[in-house]
Amino acid sequence: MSDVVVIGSGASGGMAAFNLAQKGVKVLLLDAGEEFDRRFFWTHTLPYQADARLRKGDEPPRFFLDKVEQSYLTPEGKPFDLVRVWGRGGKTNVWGRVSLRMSDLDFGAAERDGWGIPWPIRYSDIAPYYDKAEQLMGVCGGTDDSDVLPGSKVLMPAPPPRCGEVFLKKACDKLGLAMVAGRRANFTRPHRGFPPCHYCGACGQGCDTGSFFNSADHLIPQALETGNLEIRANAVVARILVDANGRASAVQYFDRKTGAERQVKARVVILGASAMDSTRILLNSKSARFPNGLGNGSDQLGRNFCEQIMVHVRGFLPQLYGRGYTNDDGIGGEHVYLPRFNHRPDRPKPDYLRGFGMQFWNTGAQTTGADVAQYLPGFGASFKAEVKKRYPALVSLHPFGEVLPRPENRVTVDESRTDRYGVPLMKVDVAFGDNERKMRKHMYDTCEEILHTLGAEIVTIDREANDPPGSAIHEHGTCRMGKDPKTSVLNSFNQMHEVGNVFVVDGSAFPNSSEKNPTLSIVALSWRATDFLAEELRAGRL
Amino acid sequence: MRSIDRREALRALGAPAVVPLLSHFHPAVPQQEGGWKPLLLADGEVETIAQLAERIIPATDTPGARQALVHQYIDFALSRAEPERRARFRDGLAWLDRRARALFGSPFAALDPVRQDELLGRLAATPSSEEPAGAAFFAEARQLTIDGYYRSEAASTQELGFEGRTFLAEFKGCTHPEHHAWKVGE
Repeated sequence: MSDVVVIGSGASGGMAAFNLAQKGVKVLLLDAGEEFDRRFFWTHTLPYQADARLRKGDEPPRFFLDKVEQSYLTPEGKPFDLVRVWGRGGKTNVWGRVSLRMSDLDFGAAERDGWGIPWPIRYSDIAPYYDKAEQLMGVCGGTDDSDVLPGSKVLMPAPPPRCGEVFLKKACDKLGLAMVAGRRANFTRPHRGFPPCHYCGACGQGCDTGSFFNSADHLIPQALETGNLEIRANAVVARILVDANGRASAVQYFDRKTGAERQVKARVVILGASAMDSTRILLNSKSARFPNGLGNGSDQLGRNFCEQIMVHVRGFLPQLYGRGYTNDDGIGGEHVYLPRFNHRPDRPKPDYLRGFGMQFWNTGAQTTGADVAQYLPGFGASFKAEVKKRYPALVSLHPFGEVLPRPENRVTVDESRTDRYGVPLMKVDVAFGDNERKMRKHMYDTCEEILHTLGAEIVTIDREANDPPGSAIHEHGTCRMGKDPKTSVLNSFNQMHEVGNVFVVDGSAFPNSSEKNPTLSIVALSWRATDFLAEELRAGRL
Repeated sequence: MRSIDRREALRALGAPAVVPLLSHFHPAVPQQEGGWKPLLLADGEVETIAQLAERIIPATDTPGARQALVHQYIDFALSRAEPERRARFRDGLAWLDRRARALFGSPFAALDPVRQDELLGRLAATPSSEEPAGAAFFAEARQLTIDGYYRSEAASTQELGFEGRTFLAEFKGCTHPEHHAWKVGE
């Protein structure tokens, strides 16, 4: 029997397996899918080459879980876009790679404004793990250091900015907004036996050289080398089973290929199945002792969903009209970042809580040209010429704002609707509120200010528009950590208050989302939690 | 994500504001030269859409939509679309011919380019003076033409000079001397 059963192989589960296996703990990893083979990624397949390949019946890897194979429920009129990758490495195969340290502005937000519950940790608790995680993940970035975005001494060099990004920086300087180098887990130097990024910009197709951090290349193989890790593929976990004392004793899963039910015994269970699926598994783990789901005496499990709200504003910079094609691919996403600024004493006090940062992907000539053409009116030779003129001049502004945790924004399971294995489906009931709408206005205002400063042509904005809930693919809150077992599910080491041998190490543990992309923090927290767990095992307390 | 570079893919992934007809990677143009047979459209419809696409993005000093085989892209894309969307598009093609006859006495494909442009101009105007169904059809045909043209080899290499998605030893960033004012990272 393994010491520990880990559910999920992405950033959180992969880190758990990586850390524990290297510490000599025997790990069984249950993965809901199979390996994705880098040799068959379509990283360097141009659109028209893709067409020819598709014509021959060739297909790119199917990273994203088919919503028909595994569906989820949403109430009428409340859409939620849940993106899942079931397979070795999970979403890290195709993730956005933005790697931002959270700060005490985030960890201490609830104390300051009274919304939600405080984190049970502070920046000083996680800072050593940020150092380790950034080195492992090969994060590149600048030398900036602020109260919003704590600095780091271990980053690889940042790539130079594209022309459009140089202009965005000039505008932000004029407006007193402190734009900094982006921080991304793309290797700008050779890293751990892998070649550096080759700047093709197609990270979203999966990297055929393994040159950005992903769990499948950079965590799992090292764990396997220890001989302490066994991986069971196509194991779709349904429930955690408990013994008479209310401790987890086994994990029940279904074979994705055959549908057969299986159970494995467990001394300790770690959930790293991503926020929504870990929550679903726990809610479905009902017993006489835990009638509302495992470790859910507080009724907080599934509640307090939070994430980020996103809007998109695009413009064309006349300064770059007709300058012709420049290779703007770079490390895929933007090379710059605008950290949150609304809390600063020199800014007007916002009429909403929390804040937003801004990202700028798709700035420059990174796309096929359709991304320019679709925003221009008209047709004919003049239209064609206008597209060409603007091709190098596109700038794209994407604010990400913190969505407040609310108890009514929640995940439940519906006993009357089951999946192909007969397991109740999850129901996601989430809506944005007034705070998000007020923040959204400030987001649009800021984008317009930046673009007006540059004299840009702004693509028509619908100021009531935002991406639907789920679109950020940064789900949090549904299994939150906290000091008080009455208002939280996990303690400060991601261990369930009520079930000592169950840990939840993915994004569901965050009491609030912050405006930042979470993967770096998830890796750091999973590392920290499994250091604690290994020590508990060694001391015989688990 | 929706790539996950929401976008980029994602979405995460950099998802376009206008969702392409075929989601994710797929806008799949089976571009074939000789021997091409439409999968969905009748020959007459193919000629109409080829002419319509060519008026939207005409040949200039670089190839236009017909040379980029946009009609083949549209036929393939529609062949994979939902039945209602296919039917709506084909109704739109029929509407275009009816309107061309009413205004100029001939179906669209038989009109000279000046007349064709005049009709399309009425459809493209905001607000359009034409029926909503006609304006909606034009908007969809225009988007399909844009998708098909700008992903083609002809547009990528000859019109836009795209040289990306390759292997670079170094990324230079902005190379305009007058714009190169900021060393990122400091």
